[in-house]
Amino acid sequence: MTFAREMTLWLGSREVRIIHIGRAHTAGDTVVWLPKERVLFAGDTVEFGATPYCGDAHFRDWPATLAAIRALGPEALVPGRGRALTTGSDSRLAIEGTEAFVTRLFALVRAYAERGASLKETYDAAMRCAAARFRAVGHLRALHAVQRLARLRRGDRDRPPARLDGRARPRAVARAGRRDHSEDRRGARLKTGRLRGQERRKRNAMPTTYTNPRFPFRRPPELDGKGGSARVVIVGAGLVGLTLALDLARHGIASVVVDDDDTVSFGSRAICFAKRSLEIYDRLGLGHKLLEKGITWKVGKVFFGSSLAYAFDLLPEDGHRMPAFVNLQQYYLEEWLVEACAETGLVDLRWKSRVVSVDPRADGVRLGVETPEGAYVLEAEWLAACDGARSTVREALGLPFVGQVFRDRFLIADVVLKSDVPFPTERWFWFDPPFHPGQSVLLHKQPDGVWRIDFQLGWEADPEEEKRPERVVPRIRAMLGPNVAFELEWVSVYTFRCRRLERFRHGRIFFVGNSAHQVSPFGARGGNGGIQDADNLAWKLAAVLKGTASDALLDSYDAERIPAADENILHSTRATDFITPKTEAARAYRDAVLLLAREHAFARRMVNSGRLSLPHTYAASPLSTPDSEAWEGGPAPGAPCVDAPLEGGFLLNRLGNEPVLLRFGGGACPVLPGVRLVTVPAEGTAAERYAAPSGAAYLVRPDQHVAARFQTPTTDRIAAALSRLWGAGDAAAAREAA
Amino acid sequence: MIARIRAVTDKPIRHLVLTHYHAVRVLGAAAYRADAILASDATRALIAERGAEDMASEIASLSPASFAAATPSLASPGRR
Repeated sequence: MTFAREMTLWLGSREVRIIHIGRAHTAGDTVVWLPKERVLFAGDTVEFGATPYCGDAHFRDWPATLAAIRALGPEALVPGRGRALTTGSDSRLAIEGTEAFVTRLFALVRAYAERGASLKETYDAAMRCAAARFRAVGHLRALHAVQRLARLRRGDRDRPPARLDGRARPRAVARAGRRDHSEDRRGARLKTGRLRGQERRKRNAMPTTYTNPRFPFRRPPELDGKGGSARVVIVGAGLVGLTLALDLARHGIASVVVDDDDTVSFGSRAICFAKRSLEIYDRLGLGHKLLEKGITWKVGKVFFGSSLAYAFDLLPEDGHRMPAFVNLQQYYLEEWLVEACAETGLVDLRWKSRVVSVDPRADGVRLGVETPEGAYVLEAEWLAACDGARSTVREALGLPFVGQVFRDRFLIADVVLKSDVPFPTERWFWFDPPFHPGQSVLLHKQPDGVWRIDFQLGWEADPEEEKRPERVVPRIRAMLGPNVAFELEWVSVYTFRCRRLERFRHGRIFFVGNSAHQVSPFGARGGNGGIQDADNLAWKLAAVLKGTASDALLDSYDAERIPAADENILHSTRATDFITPKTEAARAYRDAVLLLAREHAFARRMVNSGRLSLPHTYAASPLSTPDSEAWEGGPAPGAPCVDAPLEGGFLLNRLGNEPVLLRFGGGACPVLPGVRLVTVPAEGTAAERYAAPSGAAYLVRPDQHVAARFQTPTTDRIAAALSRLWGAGDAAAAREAA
Repeated sequence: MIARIRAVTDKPIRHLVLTHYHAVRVLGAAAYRADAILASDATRALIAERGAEDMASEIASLSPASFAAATPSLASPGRR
């Protein structure tokens, strides 16, 4: 006996409804429902503790069918596999578990099919996903869905769910043959993939919202037998080199900056500028520009699967001039730096000038520089290598890195969204989202309507292949949905390293930024770390050049910035380990943490999508004078000063780039030469944030870190701390003790 | 299966509902000797279309071990 939708049997007074409730496990699924007893015999539409067989499944219909089953409100449910469930909540659990499996598997297979992945790739991804997410189900049957896909491709049996076969088939088949050679092809590409400069630009040229300025080559005096020496030479007019040049100029120190190119950075580079970096640029006079043009944000959200794991607020209190983060394309900031450097009249910026030899000497460095109009020799008293991860200076010196390369690949896509945007101005990070199963995705908003999307690809991904718009566009469409119009602004594929040089100072040469250390992008610690290097070096080099400090002060660059780099490397390595688990156990831990984070605060601390850049506290620095009084809070010696609102402005703007005695409250105060006195009220937010009793004082360094603090400042104590700050080290401490 | 039912009740098995067409669910329906076997139109159509092929496939996948136990193993391979 058959029926189209439903029939009812009466067994005595017991009503038994037999319902073809919708397509799910097969096209003809039927459940038996006892409405009075609220008992459901679900057939294979619902499984419990067992993987649903999906070989004949209707993936698109199955969730709706489960919704209909759920709507019946069963208090007991007999699944197709697994024990009978005798409570309403167990029944719901079984329905939800089945739905989770079906929807995730379908999303994964569809995503792979849409981008033309081979059957093998799809199968492997499905098994990885299933192994990671549905371990509890015992025998894994994810492959059945993939087998179904295979049958569909052979043209067998019923019509496939929309789009699963038609589009994927020809490309997948075509690709299947080629994949066999993928290893060889990748090897060949790696060699040709190391294109530099112009060549690389041509291949990736597609930014539409920004056109790089071209700066003219100016013939230097050295080519006409004049000049030939400079007190400071900076190699690399990138973010870090220009920052250092501007900072030196603000200290009155001239520099020559050489760069082999004739423009600012190209394409998508650093975008997240952390509070501390913003404060540094505010000191240098560019803070307002970053605030005006940049995208300010402070809230981050972390998603796991399709739901929110938790949200965080990076700056929950008011009374700071600078926000937690500003997103801005690096090239804008570099342009402003070039302008600001030019305005100082102290920066000799030489484009199209490539360093071809580095000859370190006891009293300086001899550089060979090549230009379009000839080569020349430049003698530098001091050299700052700000020439990035592939530093020419570092290679010339043959200095090795210590650290780690991560076996994973990430795709950067900068996208201009043309229609209403479904995202707020927040940092969003997805672990294992339905639109990019098994991997992670990071989203940031930038100015000009540009959005940065990072897709984790896995180590097996072919970097050249993944950059093709035919591959990139479907990934983005899967994420944004069919109704969001967008244009690709930039695409690149990267791997990364967490490593550093053993020392950053080599005699008269300093390595600054990426030439000294490299980190993964999670946490925005690359650019920000480099900016903070420059901030640390500039005042020290200026002091030595002016004769106010001895050479020994420069050793503190190593003493302070190496631990800072280690902190950045540590956080970025941990984040990378969490985001790209290396073992099944690590993945199980990660997934458990993410599930727990939804409900439990303790687990949120363990989620690591990147610990966002915070300034390093130079706690063990030889320049810091340890506390000799008990302080309940406030920035400790070595920590950066904390901002606070003051009448008519902000505290950090009252400091500068010279030593400051920050005094809380009035009254008599020792005055020392070379130290500017800044007095703020003994009551109020500033005093609270500095935990300062009335009359207390902080000795602030030129880079606005704390050198020392005193609840009862005396001339002797301040003088000793100042002497120590200028690099006199333990001698001052010994005098103070005596 | 019948033995399991008999452990619970001695009432006659008068109606048998086929939840879907898969051979592991459908084959052996006659053994219940029910008055009526109930199925949706869609399930009946699938049985008509694929039943023979499914049965052949199931039989091909059976091994002597499948018959070692007195009752068919729940863990036997094949579609469920």
